[in-house]
Amino acid sequence: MMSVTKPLVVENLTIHYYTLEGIVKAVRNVSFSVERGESVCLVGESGSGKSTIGLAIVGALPANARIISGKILVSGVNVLELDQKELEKIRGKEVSIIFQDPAASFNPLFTIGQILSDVIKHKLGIDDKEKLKKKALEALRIVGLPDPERVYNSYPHELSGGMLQRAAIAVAVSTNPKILVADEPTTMLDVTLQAQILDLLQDLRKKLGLALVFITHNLGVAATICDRILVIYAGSTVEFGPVDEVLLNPLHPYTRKLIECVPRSSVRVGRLKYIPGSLPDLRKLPPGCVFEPRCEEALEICKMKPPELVEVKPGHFVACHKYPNKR
Amino acid sequence: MIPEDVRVIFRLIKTNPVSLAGLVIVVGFVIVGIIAPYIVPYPEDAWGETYNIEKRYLPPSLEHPFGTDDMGRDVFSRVILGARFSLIIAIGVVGLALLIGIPIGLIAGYVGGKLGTALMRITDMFLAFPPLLLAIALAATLGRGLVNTIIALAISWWPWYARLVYVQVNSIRVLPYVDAARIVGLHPLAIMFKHVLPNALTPVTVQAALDMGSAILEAAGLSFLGVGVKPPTPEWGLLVTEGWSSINVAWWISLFPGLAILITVLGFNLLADAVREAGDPRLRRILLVGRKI
Amino acid sequence: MTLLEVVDLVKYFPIRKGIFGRIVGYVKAVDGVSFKVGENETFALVGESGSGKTTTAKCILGLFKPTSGKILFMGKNILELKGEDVKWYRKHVQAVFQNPFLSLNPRMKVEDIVAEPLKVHRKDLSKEEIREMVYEILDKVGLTRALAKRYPYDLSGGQAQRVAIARAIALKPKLIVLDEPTSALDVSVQAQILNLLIDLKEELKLSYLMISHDLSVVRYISDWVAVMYLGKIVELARTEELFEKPLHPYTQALLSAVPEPDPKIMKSKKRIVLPGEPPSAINPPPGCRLHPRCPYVMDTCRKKEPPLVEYEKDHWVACWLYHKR
Repeated sequence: MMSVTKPLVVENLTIHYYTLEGIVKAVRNVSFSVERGESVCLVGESGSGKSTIGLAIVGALPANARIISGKILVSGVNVLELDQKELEKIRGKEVSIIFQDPAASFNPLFTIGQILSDVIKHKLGIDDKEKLKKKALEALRIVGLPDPERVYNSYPHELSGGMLQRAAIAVAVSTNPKILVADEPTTMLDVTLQAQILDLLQDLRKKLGLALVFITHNLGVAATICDRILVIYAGSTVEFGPVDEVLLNPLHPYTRKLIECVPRSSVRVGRLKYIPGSLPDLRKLPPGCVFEPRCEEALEICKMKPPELVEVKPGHFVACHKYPNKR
Repeated sequence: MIPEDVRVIFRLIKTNPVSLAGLVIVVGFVIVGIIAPYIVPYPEDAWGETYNIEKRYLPPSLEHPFGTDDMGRDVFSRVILGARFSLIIAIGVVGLALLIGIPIGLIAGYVGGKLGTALMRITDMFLAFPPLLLAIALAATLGRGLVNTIIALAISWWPWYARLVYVQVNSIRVLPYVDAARIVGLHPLAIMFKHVLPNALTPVTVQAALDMGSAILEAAGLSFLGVGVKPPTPEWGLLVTEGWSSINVAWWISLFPGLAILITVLGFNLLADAVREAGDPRLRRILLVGRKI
Repeated sequence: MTLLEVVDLVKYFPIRKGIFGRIVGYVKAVDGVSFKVGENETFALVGESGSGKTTTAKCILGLFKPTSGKILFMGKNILELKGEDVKWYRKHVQAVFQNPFLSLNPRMKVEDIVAEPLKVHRKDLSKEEIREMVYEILDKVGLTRALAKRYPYDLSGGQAQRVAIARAIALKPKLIVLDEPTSALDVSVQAQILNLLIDLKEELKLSYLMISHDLSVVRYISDWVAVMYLGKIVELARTEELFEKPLHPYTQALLSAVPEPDPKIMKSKKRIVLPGEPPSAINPPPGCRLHPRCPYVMDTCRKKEPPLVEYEKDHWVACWLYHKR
């Protein structure tokens, strides 16, 4: 039996932020894996920790973040144990990231072409100017930019938001990475542009066999682009499984509530439900389930200890005392 | 000042021993400056009204911790009282500069158009001069004296504040809460004073408070050059000058006032660094718990 | 009764170049927009960035001076109002903006923010009366009195937006312009604010002019919807009608592009893709503005601009596909 190393495996990841106002336990014991060509969505609201996980995967956490425990295996190698030099080799080459604001990926003083060539040169070691330009233009073509030459010679501020995001994707995939982390890449874009970019990412996934980690707060977007979805609340996994399963048969009260409080454009909905209360203080977590204070279905045990992640149906995991571990 | 900013700043200062030292120095300076006339051991010496021929050039001792100067006056008393003059100068210069600069920046930024451009051009002209040179020229023209020194320095300083206020007002003018004030029906003047100005002033007041250190330094410089305050005012710069000719034999006359300048200005600068760090938005986001709305 | 009537509203922004500020062109942000908002109605202006919806709202709020056209509020043209009449308009038309942390003065306490409109327009009230009214209003928007003495940055996004709403309803206006009121909020909070707006509308008999790019929110809260593209209204109808039977190709494309958290619906959705991006408003295409991207483009579309006509009762569309020639 041949075992193929998964491009990305995240195991029991725990990350804390050290701030002047205390230790923020931003991510607690999160685990998931992504196969080649698969896309996994990290879905949560602001403050859920999803962006932190994304940054951890590419080794771009801010200075005051500490990885307390866990592993991030990129093609089998734990990137948390690498030093800066080795990380440099992986970052931008094996793992790439695109951000919510495409301008964040570009130095405004350089043209897109210059930045692209720079990345390709340093990550793929190609020196020949002709070859560099060819590869750069190819990357711009792959992302569907109608006039690659023009974009190549443009500065970031000369491009519209949609084109700039495509260019950012071009930079990210120019080195043929195995993993692409996309942190809310369409949140700042109009709805029709968003649809185009999501189409593009789907296309690239198939063409290049990318493992996509897509971070979003929008369940609709997750439904469009993901194979599996990981719902994260206040730093811990709440539900995880195939996207169809989780969205059509949500098990966790938070997931269910989340789906019920989103208005729809395709159907008439009755009065929207909402989730009372607010996010807990990540510096002082309650001893029990982190969602319990806002949960309308809480049981006594929910106050006392945090629930375990249990596989309720094949591939569908939930962390909730209503689905206890039957072992 | 917005309470939140002050909280962040104080927290930053508390945790950083260097900025804490700065805060201690500045607070110490202000306190000494205020109570100086009441704590000087030799008040007549301090004000320079004495001439004790037998006590001239005495080295530091228990009775005269900083020794005596060429007129037999207790240097310690003079340095202590000098703190008050430095405080007066600091507040005077910065206060006057703000008084001139804020209205100009406010009107230029809020009204804009041709008037705004004109005002800013004038400001730019002043900014083109090296500030100390301008102050020296003005001081020399106006003549020596405490008030003239303050005026000369203030005139060389107001453009910085005008520019700062202008930039702030320009960016605040387009914020939604200003639009909201218009929609509520507030009179434009009311909007200017109630909504725009208070928010524009935060960076300015902080900058001004910290600039006091530079004001002290520049005033000392002017006095040292002989265009600042008149003797026998015990201003620190002047004290340094007075001891300059005898520096080989009576080093204490210039040294201690010089140290006073050094430590005080250093205190302000250390504090300024802490405040600047607190103002850096990236650092702030790290320092406070991640705030998203 | 028609509360607000916008007639042929046009707003061009001049583009200046050079030291003397020569005008070299215009950004045609709003190019002939007309619609009516009735009493106790929610009218939504929907469009993507560059559609002109925000500019239209700002003209109605008096923040921009229109290039031409009329804006009639309760019959009076607001562009011709003077003196006391301006105050009258301000009393009846208020706004809630997208980001509450930018629309609330960070140096003012919550109670002062909400009291401000009262202090301007109700000089007959004493300090205590105003304070009492402020507490009542805070209560109405679901905020406790304890928050009255706080500053905006002490509040959560949802609470801050409630303060903005409190300020807007303080004078019991007739019309509130909502500019993307929930776009900056978390999903769970968005629902609360939308429900609050709906409840207040009923209780205070308000009308809303809602500006949004989020079609799901629009479907939930509006009675009428106008879809804008590049400065013009391309379709206008009652909400259910528009969402069930979108006529204009742009509306159809827009609706097909909205992601839904229901995989079944997403699979069965017919995607109409508009290639490329909207052109700039400086040089809009001749004829129908959508023609370079429209999947159903015909020859007429390239030459002549289609007028907004009432194709069916209460359903207007500006498209040659529906023009019975």
